[in-house]
Amino acid sequence: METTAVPEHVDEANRTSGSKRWTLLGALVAAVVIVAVVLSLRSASEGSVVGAASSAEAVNGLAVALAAEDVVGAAAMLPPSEIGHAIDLYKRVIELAQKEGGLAGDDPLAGIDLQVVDLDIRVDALHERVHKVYLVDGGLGITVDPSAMDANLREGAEAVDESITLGEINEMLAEEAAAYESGDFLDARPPSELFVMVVHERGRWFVSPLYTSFEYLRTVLDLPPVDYEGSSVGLPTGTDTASGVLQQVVDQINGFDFDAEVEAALAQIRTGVLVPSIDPADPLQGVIPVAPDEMAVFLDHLPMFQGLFDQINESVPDGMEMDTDEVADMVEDLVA
Amino acid sequence: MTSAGTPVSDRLHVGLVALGAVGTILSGWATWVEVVGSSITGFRMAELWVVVGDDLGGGPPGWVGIAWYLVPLAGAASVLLLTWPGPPRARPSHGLLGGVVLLVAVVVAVAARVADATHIGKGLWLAGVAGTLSLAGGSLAAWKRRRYPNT
Repeated sequence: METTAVPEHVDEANRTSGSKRWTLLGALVAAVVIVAVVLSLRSASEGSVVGAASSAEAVNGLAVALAAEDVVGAAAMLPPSEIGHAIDLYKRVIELAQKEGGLAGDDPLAGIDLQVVDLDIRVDALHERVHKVYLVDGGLGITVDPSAMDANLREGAEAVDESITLGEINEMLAEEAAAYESGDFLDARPPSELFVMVVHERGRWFVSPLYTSFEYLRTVLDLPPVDYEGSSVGLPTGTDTASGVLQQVVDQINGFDFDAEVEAALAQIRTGVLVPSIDPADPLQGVIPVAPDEMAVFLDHLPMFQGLFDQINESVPDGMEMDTDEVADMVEDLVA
Repeated sequence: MTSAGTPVSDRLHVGLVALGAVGTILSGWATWVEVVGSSITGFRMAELWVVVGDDLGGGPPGWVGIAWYLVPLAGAASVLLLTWPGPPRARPSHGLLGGVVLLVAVVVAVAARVADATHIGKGLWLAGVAGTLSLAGGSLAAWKRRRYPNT
């Protein structure tokens, strides 16, 4: 049998060619990975799964999610400390509603179209972690199409097609606010403009329902501005273990001297102080180890309520011609 | 030796390292950490730092995120080292890269366990396994090089 001898230089050339192919393939894969990494990092820096990179983006993100009737997307713009497991709960409720026949499909908002268009906002940075975002203008609308609604929800539903602009709402509010005169205790002062509060939490910005509610309350009751610096005082430090939380609560309850507290309160009432003053660092520190994120909103606003309590202490006894000794006796009887 | 002239043990090393490199790269786009309402892929640096690094504490802000960049880059470097110059060959340095990936995966996994409301995702498991494979392939190649210096 005749064999064909392969010249050595041809074999060497084949090996070199094969090596180049592998090298080229490896370089190509590495280049693709590096490009993909860069693109992904760029995408990650521009948008995130939860919250937003700025307060304005958080408000716009929430508006976009609402306009798309995207409940999960909207919840992603709300602070984790406030909504907690609400999204999980929402999903479970949908599943339960389907199982129980309350919902035929998986979208309870089918047939309902919310519109938020041309949103114009103005950001007021109250603190490095709290921004007030005014909703200056933009269109709000809602249309309901019963025929497109979930089969189990459409019964009794009526077609709706309504819209209004934020500018119109703000004009009405501004007129009401201009007509307001500070007068009696607990007079309601309307806000002159619509707004939402946006907070910085865990490195991202979120639209906060709690801060927004407290700020509207503060505005309506004409209370002093909030010092957002204060909430770092008195934040619970937590415990090392889960059982430690329970133990701490039990210790607090066991250590609570009810009689002494009542005596102190009655003594204050007899001096004309119906609602005692608040020391944010004292009453909450260590009482219950609530997560600091969740406690911050309350600590932020406690001093604000001191203004309200002062008003109560001044206005109620005078206005109602109340003898605080009688009030104290009444409370004492109640306690007894 | 095989008919192609490549020892079976070399193929094993190359296979381990190649699987490790692929796993390392893919892990970047898989979920590393699951937190309430959000699944965090390897590239979600902000959340990764926020939920993991914040709870872990210590070190400059973002250090977990910076460390994580080593993972996809280690995958790309593994592929380059594997094929440069071809044909594919496992090297001791693959073990080092695998060790780095494994270390990052373990640190993030521990942090995710420590942090509240976070769970380890599939991407983190993938990175851990991929790092282990690369570490094994590279270590075997190093061992073989010491044992049989002339092969």
